Amino acid sequence: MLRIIHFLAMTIIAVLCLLPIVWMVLGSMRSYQELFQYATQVNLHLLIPVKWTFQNYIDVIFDDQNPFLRYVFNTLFVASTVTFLVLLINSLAAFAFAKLSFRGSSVIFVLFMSALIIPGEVMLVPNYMLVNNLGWLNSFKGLIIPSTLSVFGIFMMKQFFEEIPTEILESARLDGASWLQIYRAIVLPASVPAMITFGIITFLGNWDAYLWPLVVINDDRMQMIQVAIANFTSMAGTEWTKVLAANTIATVPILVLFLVLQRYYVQGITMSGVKG
Amino acid sequence: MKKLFSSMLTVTMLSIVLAACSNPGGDQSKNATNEPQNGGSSPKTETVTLKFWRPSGNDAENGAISKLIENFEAKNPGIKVDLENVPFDNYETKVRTALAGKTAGDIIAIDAPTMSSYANAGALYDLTSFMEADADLKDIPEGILQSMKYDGKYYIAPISEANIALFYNKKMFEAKGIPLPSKNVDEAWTWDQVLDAAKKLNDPAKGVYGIDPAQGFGGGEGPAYFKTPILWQFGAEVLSPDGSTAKGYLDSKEAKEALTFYQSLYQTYKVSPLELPPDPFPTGKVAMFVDGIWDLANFTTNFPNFKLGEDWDIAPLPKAKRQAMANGSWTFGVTADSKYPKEAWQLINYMTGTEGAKIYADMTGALPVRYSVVDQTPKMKEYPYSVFVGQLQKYSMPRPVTPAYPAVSAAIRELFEDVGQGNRDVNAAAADAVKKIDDAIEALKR
Repeated sequence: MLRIIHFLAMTIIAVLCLLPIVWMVLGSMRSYQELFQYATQVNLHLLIPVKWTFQNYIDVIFDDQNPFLRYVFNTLFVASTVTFLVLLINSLAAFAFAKLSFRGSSVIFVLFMSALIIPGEVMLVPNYMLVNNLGWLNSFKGLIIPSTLSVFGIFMMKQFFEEIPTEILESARLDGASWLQIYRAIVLPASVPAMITFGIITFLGNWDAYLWPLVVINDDRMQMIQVAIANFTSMAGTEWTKVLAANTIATVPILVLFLVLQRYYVQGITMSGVKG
Repeated sequence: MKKLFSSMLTVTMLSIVLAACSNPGGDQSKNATNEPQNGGSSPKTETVTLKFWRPSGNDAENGAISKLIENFEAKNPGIKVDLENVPFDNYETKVRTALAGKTAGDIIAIDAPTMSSYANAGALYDLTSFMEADADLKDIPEGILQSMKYDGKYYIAPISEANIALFYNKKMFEAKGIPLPSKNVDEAWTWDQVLDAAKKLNDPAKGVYGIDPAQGFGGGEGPAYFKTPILWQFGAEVLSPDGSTAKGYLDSKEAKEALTFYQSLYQTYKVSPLELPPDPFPTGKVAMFVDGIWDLANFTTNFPNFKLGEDWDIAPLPKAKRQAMANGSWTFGVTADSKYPKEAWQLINYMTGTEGAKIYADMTGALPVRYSVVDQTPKMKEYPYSVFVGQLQKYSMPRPVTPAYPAVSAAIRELFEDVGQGNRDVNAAAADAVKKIDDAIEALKR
């Protein structure tokens, strides 16, 4: 009996979560005229198109002025590069905070953590001026390099690394291994789920990035997906059907990534939550 | 809601940074002395690249701007224009950030009422001498000239104007046997007539509302553009004539009358929708809809089965004691840090001059600013354009000209949300709005 209730509750939650996505996909296959025609009353056509069309996809993909697939490629490149660098740099930092004892380690860690309370909006202008002075405006460098530090990531990985018994690392030290060797041979293999979780979070964050690419990139051809989608809104209104089609295209890579790595993702979240 | 808050926070923060970065007068004078040197030292053969930033419009608008740039480049071989279309919603975020870093475009598009805030911060190049020399200012209606000036100096040039009117669903009117409003600009319906019709047209069972008086409750500059005219129509003003206070104006008897009427549409008679679905008018969810000229083209392309003259028509904007609506649309200005103010002005002068503005008006269907362009465009004298052009030339007025305008705009948006959506006491809400505006004016003086 309890199982049935569980099952029912899960189904309802799943349907609620999926409904907007289903509406997005089906809505992207209707003409603008009928998209909101049935939106205020409950009926079949609230979801199911009256006349199916792929025109929105054609309009979005084959637009000479705003080549959407190019934006997908740009974003894929930036998000993958950032994810790779973030995993490398921040896990090394987390490893140092978790397992190496050096002077002032806890003070430095607290300083790092305090950066978490500063909202991104406050840092927008200083970061912008820094990137400008470095000459990185309007380049992928300006998007990638400032994103390679993740304080949240260091915190999360540190929590995870602390679970690894120090005795193992000490015996490796006695056998003559360097800290980097220990990191590669012992720590890294043990932390695959956490790394994948962290990697997905980072990738998603960069895939959805809007404000920073908006201010840093000026060349239309180097634009990121979210900024390109926002471009479908003008003073004269929003081209909702194009937005839905573009969003559907933009969701596919994320969905594929998540389906492949899903198992590790959930594992990673549960493990990093367990203490002791 | 969180997103809205964070973007509001961003804009507020940036306004502060922009204000802090400015050194009044310094930027301007530096540019003025640098300019002749630049002109003298750089040989004519060198190519100048102008960065031109504007918020992305619809396909017709973007196409028209590209066409104007193409023409300009053909006529001026030494100048290349690098256009960037920025997402509309966050255009100001980007511009203000870039201004703080002194890397904004040479030419930026500016929504007319926000100009004073930019000019006051020293972010704009004074165009007065250029304009008086070659912009033919007599060709521009006086009310619009006022919106181009701050502190007696010209900073921006408008390419087009906009205007709003009462769109009504003709079939619904006929079904209920309600006489149709006049198309004559001088015979606007009163708000009482509108309310009468709205009560008859209202049909909650079918999900049809009588009237949407001012585009629901949105964000950005839209609320101030659509809702300030309601105050004007009832005889109120937002600020004192010298722009020093809102006290005694935004909380006057007339303003409260306007707010009480607006509130009654939502709360007493329930003829207006608290939540506005997208495109409510062409999908038949509201019978009367206050909307802008830009939606003429939108409805034609996106709703081919919803025909002007058969399904719907346009009447002048309703009045109470007087007819009024806001002018001031998108304009172009030159940034104070631009290295090429002269070339930037050449481009602006081409785009906003008779030839450029005519091309823009023809391609987009927007209202021309210049008398000469209106004269050369026969369709502007015909219905439905005649309604908008007539109102623009006779009854339109600029929104309050003050460097505190961003605060004024936000206060008006919140005021109408409070009384319409929140059913808040009109006296308390108006007192709050006055305080917000006066605090902002006070803060700028310091």
